[in-house]
Amino acid sequence: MSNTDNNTLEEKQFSYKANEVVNTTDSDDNEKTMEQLRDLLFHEELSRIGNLEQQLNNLNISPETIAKVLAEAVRVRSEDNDDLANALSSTIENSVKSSVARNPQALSDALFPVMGPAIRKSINNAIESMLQSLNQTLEYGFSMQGLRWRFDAFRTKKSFAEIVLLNTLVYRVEQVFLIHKESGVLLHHCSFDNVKNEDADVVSGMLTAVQDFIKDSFSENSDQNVETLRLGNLEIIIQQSPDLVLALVNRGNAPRALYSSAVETLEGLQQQYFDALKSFNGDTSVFESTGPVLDQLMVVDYGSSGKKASLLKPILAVSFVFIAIFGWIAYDIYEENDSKARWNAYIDQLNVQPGIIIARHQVIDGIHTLTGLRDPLSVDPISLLAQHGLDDNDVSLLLQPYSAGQQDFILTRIKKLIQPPESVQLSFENSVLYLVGTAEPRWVEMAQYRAAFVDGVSSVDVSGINSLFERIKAALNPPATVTLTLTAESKVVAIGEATESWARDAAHNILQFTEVSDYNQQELVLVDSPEYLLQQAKELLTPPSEVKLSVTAEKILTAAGTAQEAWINEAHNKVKSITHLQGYDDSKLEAYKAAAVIPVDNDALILKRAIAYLVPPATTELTFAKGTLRSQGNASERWIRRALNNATKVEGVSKYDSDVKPLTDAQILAEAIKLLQPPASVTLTYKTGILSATGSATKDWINKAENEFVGVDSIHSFYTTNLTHPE
Amino acid sequence: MIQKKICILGAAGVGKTSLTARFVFSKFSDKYLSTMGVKIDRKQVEASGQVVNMMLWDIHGEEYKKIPTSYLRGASGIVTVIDGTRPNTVNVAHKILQRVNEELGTLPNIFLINKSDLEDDWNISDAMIQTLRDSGAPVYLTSAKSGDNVESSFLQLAEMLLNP
Ligand SMILES: Nc1nc2c(ncn2[C@@H]2O[C@H](COP(=O)(O)OP(=O)(O)OP(=O)(O)O)[C@@H](O)[C@H]2O)c(=O)[nH]1
Ligand SMILES: [Mg+2]
Repeated sequence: MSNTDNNTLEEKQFSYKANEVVNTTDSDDNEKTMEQLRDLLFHEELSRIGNLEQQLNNLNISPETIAKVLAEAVRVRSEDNDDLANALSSTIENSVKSSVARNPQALSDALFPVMGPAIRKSINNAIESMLQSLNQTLEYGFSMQGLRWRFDAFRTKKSFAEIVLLNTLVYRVEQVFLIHKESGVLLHHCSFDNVKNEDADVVSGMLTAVQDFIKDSFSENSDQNVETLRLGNLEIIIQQSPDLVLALVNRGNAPRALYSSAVETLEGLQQQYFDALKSFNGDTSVFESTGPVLDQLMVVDYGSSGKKASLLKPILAVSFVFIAIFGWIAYDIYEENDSKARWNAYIDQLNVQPGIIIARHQVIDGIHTLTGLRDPLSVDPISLLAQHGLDDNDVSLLLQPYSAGQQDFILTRIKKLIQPPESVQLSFENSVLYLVGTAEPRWVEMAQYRAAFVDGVSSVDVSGINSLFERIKAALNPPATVTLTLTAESKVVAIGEATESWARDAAHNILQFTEVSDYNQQELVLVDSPEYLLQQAKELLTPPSEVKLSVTAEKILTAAGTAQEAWINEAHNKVKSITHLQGYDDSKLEAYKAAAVIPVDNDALILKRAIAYLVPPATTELTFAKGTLRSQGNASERWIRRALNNATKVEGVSKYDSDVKPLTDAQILAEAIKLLQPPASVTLTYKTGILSATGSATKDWINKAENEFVGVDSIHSFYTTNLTHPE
Repeated sequence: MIQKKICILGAAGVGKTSLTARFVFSKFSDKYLSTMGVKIDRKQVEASGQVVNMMLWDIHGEEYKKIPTSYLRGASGIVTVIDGTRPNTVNVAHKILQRVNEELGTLPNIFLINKSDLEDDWNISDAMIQTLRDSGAPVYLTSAKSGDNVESSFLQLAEMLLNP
């Protein structure tokens, strides 16, 4: 019944509009697009491996063997020189080119994750608040249209506001970006709800980058520019002038007229701001005055209602009567005709399908025209025709694609988008997507990122994911002193300190993970290895040169030679603190006889050695006595640190006592002045590593100073750009 | 407001993305996710008493794919990143800068020799640093990991952009 009121004036207007803009193409090759999307996102890895594998196959070498070393080989080779990278990059470029040429849409889909969030964030909020206010204002409104939509809402169990919005919105320009073409800097931005898009400047840069990327990648003719990008439900119209880019983000299908008004606006702006654009230096305040002009592009077309509702009111009142009468007659005619009943049954069946809304049914010259919305994931309406004895030659479908809010649709959409491996279960509840199972961190990151774009998903919960890395950690059970990393090339690296037995077990346990290409624990310090124990013992006991320490395979420390009684006793106590040491054998150690002469190094000699090794600055004084090296005065922080690390490495120095203060800025400046001897016409200033000179000086002095300033340890940069010279 | 486009350039894996993330979000991750194409971030700073919006174009490493000129166009400043543990990245930096100079003319530039926290693997000689200094651009030793010198060097670039 609701579909019989099809001949009112108002209906005609709307259906005319709808015919003009509704897009009937039914893009159901999402699967293919996803393939290409993956291809694009991981093209580097895929095509590198693909190409090399192919070559390897030709050489009759098993790709499996090579795959293990491939990533590493590529890295090592490109560290050496760029040959391999150059060779690879042309292949990669070609593969991008051909992939993009096959399906340009895939490219914008691939870029969507980068640009999408910023654009969508603001738009989603806007839609939500709009739905809410529609619900309020229309809930109690009375009109024929309203009644019918209410009935539709009741029948299709969709929210009333959703029906209204989707029925009425033909297109709407939601955001306008005015961009400086060369730099991608955002000059001005407006949005239809006046909500400030915090990321507009970043989006603006991305828009130009994307354009350039597309142009570089597949446009043979470099004058040819991309005019439209599609991102999910959004369409971005892009127009360019010599210095400007204008981007309109809109929902729905904009009429061609919008393109021409964009071009006109742009040409006007280019002319009006010609000088400002030529001398643009990043200051955008001049362009605030473009607001009113850009606002004029923020057009919206709500089809037959919305803006035009007030004009239509009188007509509505009349047509109410008309419909009542006509509807009655029409109903009679329907009853007479069995085919009409079949059509009604067909439409009723369509309307109870999730993801299909038939908003109107018209018969024009015997062709049944169904207008409405359809989620690409819903059942194909044509396939249901036969059940009702209807012929697909009699039907014309004008179904605008849209995303239905049903849970299982959302889930299907997500699955297509993120391609979960079998080991991951998805569930969706209260607009939260839960991922549970095991998966690679890389995949999880990608999935988390992309799923967040699906309409209806407010957040993605991956706390239930056990990544490969976590499984590895669980299997190897590293002590707190070991850090495990899983690199992008699936190599596992263990760094830190561990026992030999842990390292042995780890090397064994890692073998169960076939996904791991390589396991490296060379950097691991084996805290119970004889070498390490020996090193520890040496550090702890500081044996005199006449004592030789060694550690046996059984981890027994032996000391042999001669030493002072005190040292022998001390050593005996100290070794107990070395964990992992199984025993201490000092039976081959002899104490000095009372008469024995202890050879000593000459103090002056040791000091000389220390000065040569540590190279103290003039402001620092070193002294040496009783095995202790002492430093006093001022030095750069770097020198202080170096001395602390190295002083005891000097032979004969057993203790280092540092009493050096870091140089103050004033001291560093004084040192610089002393070194560089600036003429009176030059002022030097110093701050945080940077020495700056202002005033005027001869070229000779500047050159000399620029070469010599490194002599002051603390200064890493010297600015002479503010200096003038007389010549 | 003043907006300036800044390109972060350098060999792959030298830490361009990490430095940007440290500067903009004060974050660091050990993970290496190679940048594809370009990622743009923004940070507002104050320099010479003015508010500057630094639009940071973090571009993929040159080895993977030649950097498209269009990414470079319109830049007001350059950050050239070198990996202090890999001397070869100095050569890459020189090459990239040469291209920038040819295509855009000389722009304010700073050199960041990154990963200064990896003292044991440090592999850049003072002579190499001196050749960088000879180009007239300031050289900083930075660590995206510890944050050492990151903020101050970007601020220095902002100053250079405002006082050319
Ligand atoms: N220790 C240490 N590691 C760093 C530092 N900066 C970056 N890294 C690491 O180096 C690797 C590469 O860093 P990215 O920032 O992704 O390098 P990139 O230059 O952006 O690389 P591409 O995008 O491929 O060109 C990552 O594993 C980082 O964690 C640093 O200052 N210290
Ligand atoms: Mg990067």
